Amino acid sequence: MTRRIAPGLLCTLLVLAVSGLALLGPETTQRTTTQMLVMGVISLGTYVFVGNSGVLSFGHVVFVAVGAYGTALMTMEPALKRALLPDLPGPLTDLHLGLAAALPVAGLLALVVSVVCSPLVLRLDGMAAGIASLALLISVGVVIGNWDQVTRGSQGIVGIPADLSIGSALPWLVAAIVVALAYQLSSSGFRLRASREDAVAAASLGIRVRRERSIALVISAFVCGVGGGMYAHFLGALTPGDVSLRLTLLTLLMLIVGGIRSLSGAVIGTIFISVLAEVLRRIEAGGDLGPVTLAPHPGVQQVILALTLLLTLLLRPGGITRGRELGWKLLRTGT
Amino acid sequence: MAPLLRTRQVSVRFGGLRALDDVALELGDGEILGLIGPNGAGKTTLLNVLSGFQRPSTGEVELDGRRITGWDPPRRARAGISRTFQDVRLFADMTVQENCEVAVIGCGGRRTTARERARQALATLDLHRSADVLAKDLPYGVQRRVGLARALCARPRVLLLDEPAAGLNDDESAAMAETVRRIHAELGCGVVVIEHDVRMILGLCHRVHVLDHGVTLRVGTPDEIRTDPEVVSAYLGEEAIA
Repeated sequence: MTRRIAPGLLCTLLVLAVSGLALLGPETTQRTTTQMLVMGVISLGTYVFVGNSGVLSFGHVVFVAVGAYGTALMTMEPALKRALLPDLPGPLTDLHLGLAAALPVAGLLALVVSVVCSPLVLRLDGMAAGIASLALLISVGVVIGNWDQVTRGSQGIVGIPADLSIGSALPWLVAAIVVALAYQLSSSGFRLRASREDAVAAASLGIRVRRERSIALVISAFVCGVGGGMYAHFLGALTPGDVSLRLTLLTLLMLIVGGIRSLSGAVIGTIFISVLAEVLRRIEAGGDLGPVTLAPHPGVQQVILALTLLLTLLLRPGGITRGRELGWKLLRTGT
Repeated sequence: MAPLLRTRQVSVRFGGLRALDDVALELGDGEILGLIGPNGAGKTTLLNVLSGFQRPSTGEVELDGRRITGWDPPRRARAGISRTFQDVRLFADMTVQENCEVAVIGCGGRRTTARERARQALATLDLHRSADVLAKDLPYGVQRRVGLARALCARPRVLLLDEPAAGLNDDESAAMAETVRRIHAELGCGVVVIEHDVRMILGLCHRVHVLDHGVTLRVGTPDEIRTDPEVVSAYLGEEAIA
C-alpha cells in the first residue's frame, strides 16, 4: 500500500518544499507560487480525465470557468453584487459564503455541467473528441461573454475577494493530489487506463469504456471547478479572457511537458513551467537582476514556452516523467 | 439441448461485398472447433460476430439458446465470451500481471481475486517470471502467450482464438497448440480457434468448420476434412495430405 501511494506522498512533499521556499522570498515570488498552486489544481483536474483516458480535451477550462464565476457570485459582497449585477436573482445576490465553503459548491456546479456535456463529448474518440471539446470551450466562452446579467459580459466582474495565499491554496492542492491518486488507484481508474492502452482489447475484456470515461470526467470536472474558484480568488477580477483558450493551452503545456500520463507528471510539469515562466517574465521585463542588468525583451516568455512545448514533443514525447510516477523505482525493486 | 454458442444464418455485408453469407456455426460445450479457410474467407469477421465487434447484417447469435445478437463486446465478455486478437493488442504500458488483472477487474471482479487469478494464469503459461515486465518490452512470441493468459484469466465459457500461432516458428507453434489443449482441459470451456497452420488445427480440434468466400464449405471431424476432395482442392493443397 505504501508503495502505491508513494507518488502522492512524494508529489505532496515536492509541493510543500517549493511552497516553503517561496514563503522565504519576496511578495512577488509568493504571488507567483500561489498562482502555481492554483494551476496545479487545474492541471491535476484535467489530468484525471486526459491522463487516464488518453482522450485529449481542450474543454476542461469550461469547468474552470464555471467554478470561477460560480465562486465569484457566491463570495462577493452582496452590496457590490447589487451594484454590479442588478439583474441577478435575489437569493443569489444575498448569498455570501467564505472561500472554503464556496469551493466545494463550485466543484459541484462544474460537475453538473460535465454531466450535461458528457453525452456530447464522450461519443467521440481521438481527434474528433479534441475538436468537439474545443467547440464546447468556444461556445461557453461566447455565453460568458454575452450573459450580462450574470457575468457582466466582456466587462467582467470585479471586487472578488482576492484573498488567496500560499497558505490557503496549499490544502486544496494536496486534496486534489489525494483525489487524483485515489481515482487512479481505484478499479474504475484501472479499467480506464487499460482502455487508454487499447480500447478494443479493453472492451473485449468487459470494460464499458464510455462509462469509465464519464466517471473520470465527472471527477475531473469537480477538481477543475474547485481550481476555477481558487483562480477567481487569486485574480480578484474575472473577464471572459481569463478562462479562455489561453488558460487551456497553459494547462496542456504543463501536462505535456511534465508527462501527461502520470500524476507526478502533472505536478512536476506545473512546477517546472511556473518556475520557467517566472524566470522568463523577469527577463522579459529587464532591469536589474542582481549582478547583471538586462534590457527588456518583450515576447520572450511566449516564444520560449512555445519552444519548450515543441522540443518536448520532438525529443521527449512522454514528457519529463515519461508517464512514470515518482517512486516508480521503489515500486519496481521493492518486491 | 442447445449448443453452447451458435450462429443462425449470419450474413455480413460491407457495401456490396459479402463477407459472410448464411453461415451457421455451432460450438458444443467443451468442444474445440477449428475455423479454417483461405485468406479473405471471413474467419475473423465471423469471430468478430461471435465476440460482438461486428453486427451481422442478418441472422442471430445465441449463447445457451439465448439471443445475444445485439449485445456489445463488454456485455458478451461478462457473459463468459473471451477472445484474443490476431495482432495481440496487449496493454503496452502495463505489466504482464496488470494485463491479466484487467480481465477480472474489467468484468467488475475484485482486486484480490484479480491478483490471485493472474498469478495462476501466469504460472499455467509459464510466464510468472515476466509478471513485472511491461508488455511492450516482451518479445513477440511471449506477447502472444500473455494474450492467451489474459483471455484465460476471465475464466471464459467460450474462448475465441484468432490465429494464436501467427508469426511463431514451428516449435513455438507446437507449444502453443499444447497450451491451448491444456487451457481447454483446465477450464472445460468451448474453444473456437482460427489458424493457418493446418497440421496444428487438425491435430488440436474435435471438429473443423471450413469457410470459403464467406460461405460454409464443410463441417466435419479432422479425419473427414483431411480426406475431403473439395476442401483439399480449395484450400489444403498437397502438403496437408502428405
